[in-house]
Amino acid sequence: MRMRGTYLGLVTFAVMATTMSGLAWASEGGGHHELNWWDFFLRLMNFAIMLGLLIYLLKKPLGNFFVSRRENIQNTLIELEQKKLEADKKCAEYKAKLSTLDKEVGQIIAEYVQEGEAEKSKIIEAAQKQAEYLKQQAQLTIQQEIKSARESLQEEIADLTVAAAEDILRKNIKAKDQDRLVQEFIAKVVEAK
Amino acid sequence: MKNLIIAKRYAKALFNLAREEGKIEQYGEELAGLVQLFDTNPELANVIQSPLYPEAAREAIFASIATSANLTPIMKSLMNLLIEKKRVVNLAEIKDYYMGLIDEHANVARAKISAAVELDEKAVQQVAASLEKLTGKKIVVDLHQDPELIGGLVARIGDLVLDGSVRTQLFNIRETLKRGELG
Repeated sequence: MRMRGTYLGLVTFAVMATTMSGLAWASEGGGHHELNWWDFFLRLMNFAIMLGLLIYLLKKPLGNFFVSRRENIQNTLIELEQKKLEADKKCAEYKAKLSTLDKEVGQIIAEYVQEGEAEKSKIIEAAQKQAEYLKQQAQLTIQQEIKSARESLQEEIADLTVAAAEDILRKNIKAKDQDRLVQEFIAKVVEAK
Repeated sequence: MKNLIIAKRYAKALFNLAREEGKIEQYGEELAGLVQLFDTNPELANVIQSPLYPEAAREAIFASIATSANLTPIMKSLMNLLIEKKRVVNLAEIKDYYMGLIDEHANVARAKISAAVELDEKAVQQVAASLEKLTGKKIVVDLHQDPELIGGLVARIGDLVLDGSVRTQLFNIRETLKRGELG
């Protein structure tokens, strides 16, 4: 950075010197229209020295500058080339992906459909099982209710029948029936022995 | 509260003495008489049983009863022992167990017979005879009338129950109908 500043200072000085000399020559030329060859020669020499000095001083930095510039540009080009290759590659990749996208979408849809079908089957199966269970429970409850009602009815019939029989017996039982019952009792006691 | 262990102990002791002396029936009658006396005179029973009265006073009261009732010396001794041991309250149970021992000794069984109608003497004798055949013991009949039986009779000898009543037959028919075993 320091060297570059020095070179720039020198170049600025040389350009200013050349310009100043040119101006001086132009202002003198304004008064006299004849060419002063010695002066011209000096000026030329001055210019040549100046030019040589400039070439001497600026050759290396400028060369380096341009070399580095060229290298930079080359590197940039290589980098860009690589980026371009990568972009191409990605482009190709995306194109390939795009080309397979429909297939993938179809596959995903098919998978979802398959999963949905499986889930549907499971739900239907579970619902059928639940329905079967509820049906069995309902049948069991119905059977129990029927059994309970039948038992209740039987009990009622039994109570009414026996009550009616008791009334009839109380009204109609005779002394000879009582005697017969006593004799039956005696017979059973003897049999029990 | 019935204390059958105590009653059994006293009754057996009295029965053994009675058997040795040949006074089984007499002691039984005296015991039954005392129990009846206390049953009909609760105040007297209370005085004899209650530990609130002096033992000597209670023995004196009982001595006067024994003299007027002309009780045997064994029975007097038993009653004094019961007063002393505060067991007069168990007298009825002692009598019951003693009566049971008498029956056992005489090979007698007591049958409580309930009949729907009043049975004539012949029928009672026939029933008793059949029960004697069944138990192998002489049957003493305790007859009651129970119209709730509708017809027939029920005999109870100890734990043995012989039921020939119409009421039980109807009950059995009703249970069979409820189970649906008929028709």
